[in-house]
Amino acid sequence: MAKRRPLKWDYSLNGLREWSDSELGALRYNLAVAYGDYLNSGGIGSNGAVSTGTGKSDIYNPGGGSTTDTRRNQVSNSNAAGGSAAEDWPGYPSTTVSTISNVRWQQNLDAVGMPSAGTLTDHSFLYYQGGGYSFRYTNTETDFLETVINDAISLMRSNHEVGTYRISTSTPSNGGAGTWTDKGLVFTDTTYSNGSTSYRLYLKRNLNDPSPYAPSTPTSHRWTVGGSQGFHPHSTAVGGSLIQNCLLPILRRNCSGGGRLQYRMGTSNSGINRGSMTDRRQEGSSTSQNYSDPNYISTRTPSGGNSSITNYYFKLI
Amino acid sequence: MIKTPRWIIWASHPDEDSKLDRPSTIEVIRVNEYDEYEHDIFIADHNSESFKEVLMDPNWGNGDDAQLIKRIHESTAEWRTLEDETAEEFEQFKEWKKNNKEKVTITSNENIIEYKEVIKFDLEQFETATSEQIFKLKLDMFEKERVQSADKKIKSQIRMSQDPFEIVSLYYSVMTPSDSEPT
Repeated sequence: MAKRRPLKWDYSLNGLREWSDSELGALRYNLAVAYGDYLNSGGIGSNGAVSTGTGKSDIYNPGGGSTTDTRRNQVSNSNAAGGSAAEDWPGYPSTTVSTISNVRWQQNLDAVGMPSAGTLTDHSFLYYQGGGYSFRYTNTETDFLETVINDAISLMRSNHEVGTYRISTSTPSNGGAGTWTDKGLVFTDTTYSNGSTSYRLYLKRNLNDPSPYAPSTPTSHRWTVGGSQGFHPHSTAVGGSLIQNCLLPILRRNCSGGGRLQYRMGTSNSGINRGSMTDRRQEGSSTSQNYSDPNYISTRTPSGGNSSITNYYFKLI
Repeated sequence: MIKTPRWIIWASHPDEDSKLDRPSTIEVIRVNEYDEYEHDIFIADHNSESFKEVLMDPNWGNGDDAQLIKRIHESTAEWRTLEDETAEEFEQFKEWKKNNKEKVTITSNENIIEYKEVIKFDLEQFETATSEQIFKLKLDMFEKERVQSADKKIKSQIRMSQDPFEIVSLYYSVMTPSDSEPT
């Protein structure tokens, strides 16, 4: 278990040099962007993707629950005139509460296989093992985690937020200016007469200025056989084979669990906040009495401002 | 066994969603064993089991995307019509409440609703009072403390009477001498 640094060719020194920590930032950032692209393209079929509905892992806590929109209703009592019940106006009924809608929450936490040894050898980066002239291609999961992926996840969770979700009533601006993709309407809070609030799921795709996280774009060099045999540059771009065939599959298989990229929806406010939703109702009411021959009618109508009934928190655990 | 939905409606705007390249959200409405409507909302994601259920439901998509979308459009229109009818009935109810509480409604030939304030203390109006006007008279009386605290029999007689003069007479009977003295 160690940090395996990619190697670059230093043209001034005419020799191979290890990447610095800041140079590794390019891989960390590009991996986050690649993961965001992957989540965006495959819906809930992508490992780590979040959506409403059922079928994948239930991320509502406690399991089986849902975010619920409730609303108070207008209610009337009536007495027919002329009978014993008509001696007085009927009492005012209490307003009732209806469940307007339920939303279940799921995340794709399906198991993902490790890339084959052959794939890793073909697309991984070279590192200097030390001791003589021993070079190796990084090929263990632990080494990839220690070198790039754990740090990338940490930045995604708590810093730039690229490749992660938020719930909001409008496009978020967290983690620095960047592109957020609207992944759809997920919850609507309705009231009797105070309108409704719509909450949408957003996925962050990139930063306008990634330089704080990827200050340089170094070139990794690999040994290439056949054709022009020798050390050649190796793409570390989002669409390059290192990220697509090695780092991204290993990130996908490590997205579940605490401290990773697993989310939870519920009423508990613990974990890293990724937005919240509130079910609100008008708990106040007004009363009125009317007569419609032969009925005396007493009515209670929800009114006044909204009260927060239940807060739902969307969290990275 | 999950029951087939009675309605499936768009919870978001599919045309707008399509233009903005974002997924749409649907609301599935089922009738439970207590004849209550249960509403489940989720994103229309082809990889989601929730969506696959309605896509494969023989009463809805039957495995065909185009058919499902057509059925959701139809179902949404039907649901909106029901909502509009309910809203219209509610508006009528509010109109009715307003008229019975404060005003008389007169409908013109053009079916335009106009309001006319009731002219009070008019003998002819007493002689030709409508049941609504009599009710209004009773309502005003029952708001008075002297009537509220009056004998149950008198209150019942006021309620049952359809003659405005009798009602006034009953009202007079619960007035104390000081009530009738000029101020």
